Amino acid sequence: MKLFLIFISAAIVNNFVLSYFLGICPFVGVSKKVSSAVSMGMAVTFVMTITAAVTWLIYHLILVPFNVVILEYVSFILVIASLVQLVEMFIRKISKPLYDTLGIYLPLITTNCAILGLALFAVLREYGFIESIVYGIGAGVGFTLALVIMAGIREELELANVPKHFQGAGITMIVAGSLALAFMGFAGLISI
Amino acid sequence: MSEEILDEGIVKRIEGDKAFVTLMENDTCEDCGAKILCAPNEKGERGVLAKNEAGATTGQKVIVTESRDLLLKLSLMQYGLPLLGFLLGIFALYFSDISVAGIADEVVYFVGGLVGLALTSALSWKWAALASQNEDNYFEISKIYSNGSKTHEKVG
Repeated sequence: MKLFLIFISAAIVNNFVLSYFLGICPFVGVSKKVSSAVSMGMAVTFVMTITAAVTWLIYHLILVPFNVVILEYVSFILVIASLVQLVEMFIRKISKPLYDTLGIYLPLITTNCAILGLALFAVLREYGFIESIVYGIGAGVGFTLALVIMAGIREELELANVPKHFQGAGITMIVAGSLALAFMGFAGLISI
Repeated sequence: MSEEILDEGIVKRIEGDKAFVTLMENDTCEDCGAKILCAPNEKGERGVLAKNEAGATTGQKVIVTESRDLLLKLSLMQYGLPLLGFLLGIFALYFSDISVAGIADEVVYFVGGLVGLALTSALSWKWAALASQNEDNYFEISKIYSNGSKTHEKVG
């Protein structure tokens, strides 16, 4: 039950994008089309889950025993950057179409503060190994959910008669703000 | 599924029956702190190689679309399947209560996850190779603009 609550908490109640406002750059940049949004969401979920596992091991088996917790940020950033590079190399090697489409956005995952936030929050909340992984999946699913909702709305907005001065970034920010308000309705539902 | 607009861009060069199109920065890129990193190829160009059946020439402004909607399938192949393998590997060992003397349980679970990841990655590799056998190009030029006005639209 606790694992389920952690998952729901990370995906909906404490959504990284719409509650913590982390990972806003890809949220705005890759939400023009639903298909791209789902792909980016899957990529982020993959990186988040692996990151949650690796950073847990590094923190509890290396940093804490050797009393070098001060290196937490540096080591986590290094892990995330290395993981994204590996994913990028892997995709470039095995799937050119996917690389052509997502390749230009992969660096956004490296600089995505949601990934670093996930690693730091998992440590802060003193999650166990399995709990951290579930937290990573939940955060990734929540990120995907936010991206897909935003992309769906933006696709519909293509057909809408948006006033000239609100077109582009303006209406995007208004939609993002409205979504954040809606997700804030879940605040306090689960405290884990 | 119908074709979807990817982006607008400028034809940088013609490579046989394809054209390399540099994508234009859109308004959402303007304030992105990571935009300097958006340079995927070796030459630092942010662009795609697209089928050029519309006959665009160097310097023309064009609209690039996905020639087939393979993106979701490919994403599932490249991310979904390996992630599933990773999780299955971890949870299989977690629920079977396996432990190795002298090694932390979490490390054992993680190794199990890596094995699952490797197996499913190999599987997705094969799957991707099969799927892309007939996929020469994923993008195509569907419209050509000249000086901001539409001059040609690909039929069909």
